[in-house]
Amino acid sequence: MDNSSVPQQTIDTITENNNRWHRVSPLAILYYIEKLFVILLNNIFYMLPALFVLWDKIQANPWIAASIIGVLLSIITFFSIWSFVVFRYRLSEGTVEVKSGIFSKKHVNLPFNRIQNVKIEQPFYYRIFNFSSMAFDSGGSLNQEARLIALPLSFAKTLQIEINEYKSNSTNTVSSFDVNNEYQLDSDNSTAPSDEVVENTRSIGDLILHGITSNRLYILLAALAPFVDDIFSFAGEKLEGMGIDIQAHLDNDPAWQIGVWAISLLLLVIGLMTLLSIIGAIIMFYGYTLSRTHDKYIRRSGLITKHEVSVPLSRIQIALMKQDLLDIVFGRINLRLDQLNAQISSMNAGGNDTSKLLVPSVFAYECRDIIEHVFPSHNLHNTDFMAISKRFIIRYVSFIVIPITGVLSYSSYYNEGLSPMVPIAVFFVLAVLVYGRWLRWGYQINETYLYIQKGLLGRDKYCLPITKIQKITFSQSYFMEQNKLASLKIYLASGSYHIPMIDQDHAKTIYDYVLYKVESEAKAWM
Amino acid sequence: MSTVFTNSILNVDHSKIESPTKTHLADCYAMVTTAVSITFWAVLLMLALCVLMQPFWPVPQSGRDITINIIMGASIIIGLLILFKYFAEKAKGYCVREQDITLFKGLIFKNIITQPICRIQHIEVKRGPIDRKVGLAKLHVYSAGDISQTFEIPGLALETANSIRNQILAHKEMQHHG
Repeated sequence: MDNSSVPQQTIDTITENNNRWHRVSPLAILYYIEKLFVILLNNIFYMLPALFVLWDKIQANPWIAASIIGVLLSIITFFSIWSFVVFRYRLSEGTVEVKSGIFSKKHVNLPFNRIQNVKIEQPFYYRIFNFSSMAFDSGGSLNQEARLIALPLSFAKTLQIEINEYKSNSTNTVSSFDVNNEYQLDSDNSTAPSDEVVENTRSIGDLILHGITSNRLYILLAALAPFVDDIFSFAGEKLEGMGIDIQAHLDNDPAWQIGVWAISLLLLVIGLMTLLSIIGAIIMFYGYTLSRTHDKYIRRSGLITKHEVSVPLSRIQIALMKQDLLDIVFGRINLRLDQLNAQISSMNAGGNDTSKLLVPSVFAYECRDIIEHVFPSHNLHNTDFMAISKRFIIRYVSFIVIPITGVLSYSSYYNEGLSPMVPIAVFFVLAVLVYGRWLRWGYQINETYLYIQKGLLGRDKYCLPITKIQKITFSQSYFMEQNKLASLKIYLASGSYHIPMIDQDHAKTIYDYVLYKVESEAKAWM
Repeated sequence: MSTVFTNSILNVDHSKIESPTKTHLADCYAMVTTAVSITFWAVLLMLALCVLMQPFWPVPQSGRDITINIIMGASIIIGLLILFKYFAEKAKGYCVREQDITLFKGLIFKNIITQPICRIQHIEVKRGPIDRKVGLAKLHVYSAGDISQTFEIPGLALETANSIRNQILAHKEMQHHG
């Protein structure tokens, strides 16, 4: 592959001598290595407890461990090279075709005028060589996304312009059969001078605050809780090895001194975790700008890998104002504008936050203004939510809290070690949590929007445009029927949203109104 | 919209009813699914007993007793579940209106799932080997989003499934989308 000469070539010459399958630069191997590494690291995270348990064995046989790692690395390299070897692309007659995949072969054929969005990414290992990877988004399912990895940056930029020109030229010839009006708007836009304005930027201070508030420390602590004993005995042994005898200190030192130690240890851990979280936030959101054209939001950010996501306003399905406990304290909000399958893609680990339209740690008024462009005259920021039925508390207490307490009391009765205080304490804590959850639940509807609020310590507010709803479920259990209550589940292209245990008549009214609105207006949801 | 919006139930008696009403599935459907699950579990049970009783690697007496007890317990529970499932399948139903299609299901938790026709992406009539044997079909309706929740009406007579499918395809919104 003649990397050096490619940038000089114009696309025309490439599209002329096309109908030939091209390989990309061998730098693509780096891309595959990175991708496999990310998958591996994500899985290692789940294996950490197992690693922890097996730590002694690993220490006893370091060579075996090292060779396992070696084998893993060579497997990764092998598959990366193989993936690169089978990767082919072709540009011809206004389509981009990509063949890839080792075990499951994939052949994507994407006409230029179907391309909704061209994304150019530059991971750090490409920046050195001035390379980039391109992702073409067709607006359909995730499987239809084509990606050209490892192209010279100048080539990628020319191709991007080429695609936009092709689209605007062909607009006239495209028959009305071509479903999306929206796409035509799109291509009109690409020829018109860009009307891009910067809507929002985030300073380093904002990002530090975001790092502090989005800290997942308590989740980590909860995950570690089952191993507390192991960790302490492990740490104890280590310290003993260093000549510090914890047990002796515990026995001899005054209680306040031990307390001070424990607190400072805790603070140290919290500090470290917060620091990590801040670093993570800065890496992901450095140089954050959210800009807006007349029909698109574009998000750019990233310290090491620069990401650019652009989303047509019409593709946004819901607005979500997310606040963790600390966000509420600082009065900040994380705003998310979800598009298709947002809930599914957030379950798949890896790069989820980078592809989302997310605005970290903004103030309520900024939030309101950003949402306003997508969902005009919404009222998400100061809606009076209606409470759900108090029977919600009764249901969760009697079907979840009481059984748990029952099992605990049973075992404390037969098991000397467990104090009878434990089930009582567990009961009260869980009951308070259920109450808190009830307190947060709320819903409200007006002519165009359905608002939902939920949370426990934090608070999430959803704004669902009624005309974009895909389907709706009205459900009732036997007990709910007796008490004239019902639940609603609302499906949008981004995922499903739940309103539990509200008045039956009100639920029915919402159900009927949603169907009436969706069916009578039949507006495009995308 | 210039035309008046109506959403009456199709194929009933042309009276305009607001709420969807339940049409039951084909009569044999609940029986057939129940028979299939009984056969499946019976075969599994027989296999377990065969493994237990085979003469080549004799299982010790105590282990055999425990296993037989477990199998007995499990069959009672499975029997009850199958009975429950029979009534649950019996309770399922559907309703096709001009503008939407509704699925009723659930015995303890009653669900009414409504899919507006203008939001349908595509629609399939599916028939497994058993369905073909007894002349039934399933209707799968797909919309955007949550793939885990497919909208499926089982146990329709083949003609019914095909006519619902054709009605949906003939809907003007569906023709719009091509």
